[in-house]
Amino acid sequence: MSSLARDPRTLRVRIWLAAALLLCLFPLAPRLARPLDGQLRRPLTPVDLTDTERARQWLFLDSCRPLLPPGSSFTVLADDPRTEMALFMMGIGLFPSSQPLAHSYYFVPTPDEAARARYVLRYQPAPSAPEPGLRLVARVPGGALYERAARP
Amino acid sequence: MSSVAFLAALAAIPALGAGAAFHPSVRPLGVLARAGVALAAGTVALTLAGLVLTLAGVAWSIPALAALPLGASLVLGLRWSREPAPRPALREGSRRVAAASVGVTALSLGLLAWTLVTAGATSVDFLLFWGVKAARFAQARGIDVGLLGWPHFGHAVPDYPPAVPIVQAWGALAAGHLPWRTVPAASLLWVAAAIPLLRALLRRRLGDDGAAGVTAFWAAALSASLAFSLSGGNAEAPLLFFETIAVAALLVEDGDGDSRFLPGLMLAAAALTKVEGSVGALLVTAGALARDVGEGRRRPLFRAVRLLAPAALGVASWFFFQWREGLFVGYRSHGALFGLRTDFLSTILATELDQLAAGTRWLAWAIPIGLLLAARPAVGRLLPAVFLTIGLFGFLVFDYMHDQTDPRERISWTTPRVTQPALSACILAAGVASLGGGERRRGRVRDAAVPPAPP
Repeated sequence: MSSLARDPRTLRVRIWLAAALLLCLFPLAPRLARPLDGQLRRPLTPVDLTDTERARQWLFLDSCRPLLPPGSSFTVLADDPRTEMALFMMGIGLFPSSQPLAHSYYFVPTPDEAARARYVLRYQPAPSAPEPGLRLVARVPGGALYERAARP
Repeated sequence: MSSVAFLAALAAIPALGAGAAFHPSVRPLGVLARAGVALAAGTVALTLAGLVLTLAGVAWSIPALAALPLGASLVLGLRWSREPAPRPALREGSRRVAAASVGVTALSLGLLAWTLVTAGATSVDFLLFWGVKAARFAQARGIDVGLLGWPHFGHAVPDYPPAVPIVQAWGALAAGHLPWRTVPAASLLWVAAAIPLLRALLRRRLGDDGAAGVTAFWAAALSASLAFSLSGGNAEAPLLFFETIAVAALLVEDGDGDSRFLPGLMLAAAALTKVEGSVGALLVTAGALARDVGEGRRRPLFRAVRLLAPAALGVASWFFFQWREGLFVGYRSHGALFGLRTDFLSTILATELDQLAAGTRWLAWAIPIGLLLAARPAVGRLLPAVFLTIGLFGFLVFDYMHDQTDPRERISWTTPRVTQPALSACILAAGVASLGGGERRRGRVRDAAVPPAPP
């Protein structure tokens, strides 16, 4: 046995280093187990690999972004109230120059507020407009964007 | 291009706090470590500048936000650079140990970077409120008070301290908009900044080799944990940086003559980053006070007040802003203070334990705890870290007991993230216990620096 290995302090330093290397194996192993090219793809959303449902919702909102004029107001509709809440929360940040108006808030409908929105973002829409008086602006991946006709 | 501008703006934050790198207690630490201190000081200064400009009705811009921090940094830096500072200690460690440490640390950071860049560790909270605030603040060119006071923004915890949204908004101002896919990757900055600073501090007590070993372990454990707990883009990485360095600076104090500048600065930054940062600041200060009293150090209470005062001032500045702008003042609680569901206690403890895997099947916790117990340390010396580790768990249990419905979902979502400072403090305590001397043997405290008496 070398003098280095006999020194308890040196041994402890080695234990710390070996343990550090051991911990690296946990994030490394899944990387090595999958094909490399699939792991080097540029992500489409910030949550591609952590929350696929949010990623789909994000892509829908991001697709609406170029179509929403700065300074406009918008609301978001979805069949599922949890999804609608998530879309509303993300939309506030993704459209920072627009005014968000809730169609529902934590599952409580707020129709008066939503009725003031100029643009309606419909996630996973039905074939027809979600309500009368809405003009289809564009279909986008995951949904459609409508504009409310200006009140006379 | 906007991503490059965003990252460049973040990389420039140390310039805003460069004066702190000239403080006499920081000067001996080495260039990269001093840059880490400057990053923390720049974050605090940028946050305060954001508050001041909004209160004054001055629109945010890169020059406007930078002016106050740069001016203060210049004045303080010039003043501190004239004060005498201790000489840096000569390096005397093994090259092989240093190379192994650098290699393991680089591997850890590389894996974390890979995960962050490929959107594999982004916090959903970043999309729901951290990034939302940053994008809206940048657009409004100030703290968007109307948004924070809007009832339909209550989901975004508007009373949370503002450092992270302001830092991200600073980057968004430089980039022209918030580059959503890049921001999570920037979480790496805080981990990378911690490493040279942590190593420089630890070598005071652990020596070069000991500091290299413990720092490598810290980097591996916390990199795995940050990825596993999906902490990209939120406030966990900066909070971890600030609290880790505060604890490390206190653990390596030689006596009652050491400056409290660095840990005080870090606790201030922590308190401006998250509500848990204030809890951490209180716990670390209480631990330092208990340690100082126990070891008979001079003026322990005065030094504890000096340690906590910057954090208290930081939080006070945020509360003052809330008051001046007509917002809710303070932090909202999760219910009546003592409205506790004690029947949830066993569920909470079991679920928390289950959630401490830290991406390493509990080894990130088990190894330092094992080394700590094997060293049979004089616990008094470790109290700043021990208070943070145990106290944070106590706080979380107390918080979860306020849930009126089954808390398992909230625990499983939050525990892996919010316990990271506790894990960090546990590693530091174990490192000091196993390599820093002060082991307890047969009821006596022996300092490794003093040779044992001849038989």
